[in-house]
Amino acid sequence: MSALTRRLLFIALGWTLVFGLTGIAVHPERCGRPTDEDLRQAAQLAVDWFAANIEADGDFLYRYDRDRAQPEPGYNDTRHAGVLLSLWQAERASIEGAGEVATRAFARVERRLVDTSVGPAFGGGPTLPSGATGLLVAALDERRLATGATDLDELLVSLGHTLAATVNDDGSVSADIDRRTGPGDHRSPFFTGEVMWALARLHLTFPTEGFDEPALRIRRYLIDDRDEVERWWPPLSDHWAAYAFETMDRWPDPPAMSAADDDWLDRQLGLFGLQVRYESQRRGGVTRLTRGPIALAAGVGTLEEGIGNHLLWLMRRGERTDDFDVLTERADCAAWLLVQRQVTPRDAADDVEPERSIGAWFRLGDTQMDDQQHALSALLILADVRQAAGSGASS
Amino acid sequence: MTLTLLVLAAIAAANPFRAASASPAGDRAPAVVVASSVSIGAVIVLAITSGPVLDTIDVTGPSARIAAGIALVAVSLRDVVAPPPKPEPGLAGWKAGLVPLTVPATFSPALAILAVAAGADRGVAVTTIAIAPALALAALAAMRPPTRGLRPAAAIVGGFGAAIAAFVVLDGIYSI
Repeated sequence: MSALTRRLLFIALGWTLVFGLTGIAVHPERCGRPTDEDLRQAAQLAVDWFAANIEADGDFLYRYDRDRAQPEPGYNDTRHAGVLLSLWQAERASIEGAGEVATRAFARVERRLVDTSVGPAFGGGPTLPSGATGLLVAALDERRLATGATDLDELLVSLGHTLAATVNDDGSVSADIDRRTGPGDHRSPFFTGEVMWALARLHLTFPTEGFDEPALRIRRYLIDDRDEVERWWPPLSDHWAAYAFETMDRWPDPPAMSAADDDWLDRQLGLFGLQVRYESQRRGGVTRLTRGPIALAAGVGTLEEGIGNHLLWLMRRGERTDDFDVLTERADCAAWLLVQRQVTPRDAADDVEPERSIGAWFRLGDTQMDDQQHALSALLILADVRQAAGSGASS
Repeated sequence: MTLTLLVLAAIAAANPFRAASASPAGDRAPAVVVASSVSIGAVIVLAITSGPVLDTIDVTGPSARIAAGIALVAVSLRDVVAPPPKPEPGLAGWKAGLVPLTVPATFSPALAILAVAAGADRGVAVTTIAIAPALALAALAAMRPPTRGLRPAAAIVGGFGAAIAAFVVLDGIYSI
């Protein structure tokens, strides 16, 4: 072999090594675009799962191990409120049976609405999670929109004032409410956005109650201080804040976007996009070694919820139009992953308890009710985005 | 990816001191013209085909930028630790523009992936304009006979390239 041939082989080896290295770092991304019918069918299956897995007392099957065909212990009021929210969203989207299941699930709320020193709140034990009350407010407000019923308005306003009391002077949100002493000092990565969204919704529904001021206080804190004060790493992709931004944009006098808001939005959209791209690289096989197992459906759903909500208000404002295509692509991808990963009747044909599996999303053999909740909300938000785009909201 | 980042990444990927080190003996002009033409031609072809290529392998633009950054880390670290290429063994006459001037000296795998990533992100014209200065610097460097001090110079560019590569990776990570 001549010296030149050896050199050429060495060059080829070098190129192969570099391409191999980049191939390990960057995998193909498996994405698609679900049809409107795909979205609707998947949403219906998810609602059917809730209908099949609600108990007489209004609680849902919380967690289920498909391999062992056994429920697993635990329950969570914040997640129960989140499920209520997704069901009322589904009812508003005319998914069959959603409102009926949500009405039955309200039984738990009736049992666990308690008086605290700052007003009524949802939960149990000596301290109540503010996020549970926040999501309950969002759910009941969604119910109001879905049914037109105003019978719970008094409760909604009272819960809103409780939430307003959890907002501290600096805009941070107390994660827990002690029944006797009121809001405490703990913080939660997600309750801040949940409470902000709840207050933002209430300001739309009850504009004279003053819910806008605490909502805006949270918004300022969330944008300017939250990451430094509470958690700077890993950066948080906040889908609840995305919901809040979308809602605030529908206020009669929506807040203007500051430079800090724009920077925050840049980071959020980047985080959502990155996570969708990463998740779409999980194709099984060797990617189990390099990317790990698939994410929780709850996690994938939140990505869709975040992107979808930001898309909705950006389209309405006609801002960041250059990003619409790529944001829509990521939203489609997240929804497509959810549709692909949902258990269908055919998938569950050999299950011992197929009703526990059909319509659910599993990761490593387990599902939890918030997997269905976030996935359902995610599928519905994409349908909203498509409707908004189709109706020319972006123009 | 900003134009500045793309220009700097291309300079690091093409590392002109490698071309200087691999400069052949004798009449260098024909070889340099060949190397420059082949390299810029390859960049243009890769930029033009970037969209279909990325679609075929199911890779999004931001992920392609991450890949370009990682490839740039690899070739930059090579430049830091390994001596730049020598003129021999190589092809004779104008063919020296292919080996060693184009490969392994100037047209690195990092430059190839960068051309694809940039082509998808910024289009063919911007990509060509941004990468051309790096190739021009390599051509200028190759017109002179190799001198002493090229190894540390190439290593310094390699170190600079590793830092630039980090920004290219971050650009891909923080894109939607």
